[in-house]
Amino acid sequence: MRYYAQIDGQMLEMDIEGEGDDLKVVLDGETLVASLRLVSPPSLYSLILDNQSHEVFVENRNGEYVVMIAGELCHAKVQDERAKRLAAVTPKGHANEGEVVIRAPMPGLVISLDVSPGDVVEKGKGLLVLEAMKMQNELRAPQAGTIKSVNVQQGERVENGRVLLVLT
Amino acid sequence: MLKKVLVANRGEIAVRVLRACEELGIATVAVYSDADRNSMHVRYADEAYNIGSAPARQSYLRGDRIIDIARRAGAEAIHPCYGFLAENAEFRNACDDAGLIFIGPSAQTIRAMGDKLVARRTMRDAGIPVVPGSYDSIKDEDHALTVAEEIGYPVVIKAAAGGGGKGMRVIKSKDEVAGALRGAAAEARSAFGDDTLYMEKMLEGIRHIEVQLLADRFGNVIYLGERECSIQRRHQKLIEESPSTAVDAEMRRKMGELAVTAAKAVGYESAGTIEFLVDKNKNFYFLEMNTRLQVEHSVTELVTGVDIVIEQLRMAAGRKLRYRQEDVKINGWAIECRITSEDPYNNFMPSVGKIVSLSEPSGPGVRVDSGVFEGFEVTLYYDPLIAKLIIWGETRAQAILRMRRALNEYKIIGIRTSIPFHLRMLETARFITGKIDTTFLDRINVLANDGPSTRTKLAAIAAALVAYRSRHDLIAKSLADGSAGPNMWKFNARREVLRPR
Repeated sequence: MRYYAQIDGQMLEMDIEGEGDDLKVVLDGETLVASLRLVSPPSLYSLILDNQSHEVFVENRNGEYVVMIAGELCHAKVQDERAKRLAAVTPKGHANEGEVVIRAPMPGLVISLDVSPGDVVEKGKGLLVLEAMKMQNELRAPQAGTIKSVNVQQGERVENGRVLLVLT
Repeated sequence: MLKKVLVANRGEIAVRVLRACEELGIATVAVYSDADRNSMHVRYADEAYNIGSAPARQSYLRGDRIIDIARRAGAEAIHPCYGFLAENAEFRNACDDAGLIFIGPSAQTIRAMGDKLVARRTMRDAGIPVVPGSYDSIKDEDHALTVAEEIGYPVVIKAAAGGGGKGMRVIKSKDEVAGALRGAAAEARSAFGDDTLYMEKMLEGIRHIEVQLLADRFGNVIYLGERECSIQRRHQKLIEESPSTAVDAEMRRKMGELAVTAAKAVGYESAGTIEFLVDKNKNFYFLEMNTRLQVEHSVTELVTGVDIVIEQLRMAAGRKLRYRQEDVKINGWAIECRITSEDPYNNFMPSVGKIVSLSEPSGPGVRVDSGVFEGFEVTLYYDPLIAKLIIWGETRAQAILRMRRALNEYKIIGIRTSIPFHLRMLETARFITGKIDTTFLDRINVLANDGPSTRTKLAAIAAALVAYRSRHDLIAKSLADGSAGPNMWKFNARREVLRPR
């Protein structure tokens, strides 16, 4: 099966086959023998690649893989050839495309609100400050855009996952 | 020796103090909030008493309840550790009134050093170099402008009751004075209920270096070398080491002797720390005194061989200091990384949840002071510090290499931690060469992704293999058990749709 991994701005193509501890990965014309074991569920894997032993954290978030190796974090978008073809035939352009919903990453108290609806923000701009664990934490814009709505008020206590802002 | 001690704290530091008591054969009493019923300190102690609900204000800060329990349990002494009631003069007084030994200095000392302005005056009068600035509170804007002009911009305005960077503003020029004054006063009022402010010269390229002291009630005071604490984020220390690359034997002696003079000036007793700011020309200035055991005390223990908590307990029992200054030798190098439940890849956002898997480093030169275990639930109620990884090496280079291998061994699954930050930090050339100051993290993005590296390919392969494996498992499962798993009709239909045409 062919796999496409989009990582750090490059696309890597590889073929994977085999079962159990006897997997074969063909990448750039090179064949690697792989054994993958989930040693500490849900995310710590032991990977032996051509007898090189690695420990890697891998988390799957709907086809978006978060991989951590020796403290370095990578985001890899992985598709097999089926998924890639499926994506090609799925109609694009949902109504809410490009809308980013910003949710509370933890329960906390809204200390300050630094934007209001209609504001145009740069990527990385501070949007609001949430206090938890004695610390004040600034939530920043994950991408540039316009604030569509602000769903909380200053001084409000919010639950984990609560929608705070919508960015378009 | 003491027979029974109550430890008025939680987390890694409560466990640290309980361990020392255990080694000395002292019976122990733990106190816990509703959120900490399962915590390590509760299970470690001989006796455990609930003191209220999860918020600290209703439990760990309830001095009245803690004193009541100490009496009921028949404890002779209370160890406050750090945080909560450790620097609370009223609590110290209440312990005295109840006939309990508070393991720390007198209420008068706590109060004098807690007010940063009183501390500055006390130290100046004792002949200790103090950061240039005002010795009286700032009255109004005009007064602030005059003082700033005198000491020269840039200046920092600080809260007398301050700490942790609250009520603090940097002022670069005179038109910023009014705004900074208002902001700092408001913040100080809400954080400490006291808006007394003072001004200091803003020193540039400074290091934060502190001296560990031990003092008994007979007037014997010694210093246990220094700790380098310049790696900070928002005034929170992340990495500490002892000794410091900025300090040689002569400077160590000078700083140490001044610290001892300072401690004697306030009649200090127990373990304490004098914090200094050190500039590029190695001039040093008194910043503040911490009248308690510190988080990073352990690096000093590894290079001096002195168990600071055991000494605190012995001295609280009325014993004389066991060491003279000439007995103290610095041996090797120690580094501490604070392991916090924060996500360094998401602006150090607190991370909560259950630790589903935990594997701690071990082997030569490794010490882990931890308050968590597999199955432990990290909540938002308390400080994010969950453990400390402390490494000893013969040289600084060996300590760094050893720390890197220990961090690689440290596996915490279920929550995000600061471990990746430390791993990347210890790879930076500036840290390795010891060229650090307090602005290090403002200037250098330790976590920057420098584009594709050798690890990128490995990460891509790992992700693809996990994808392959999970798809494989899914098919195997549906074949083995027809009713569960994906519907084979749908599976085949989808395959039809996807067949290349």
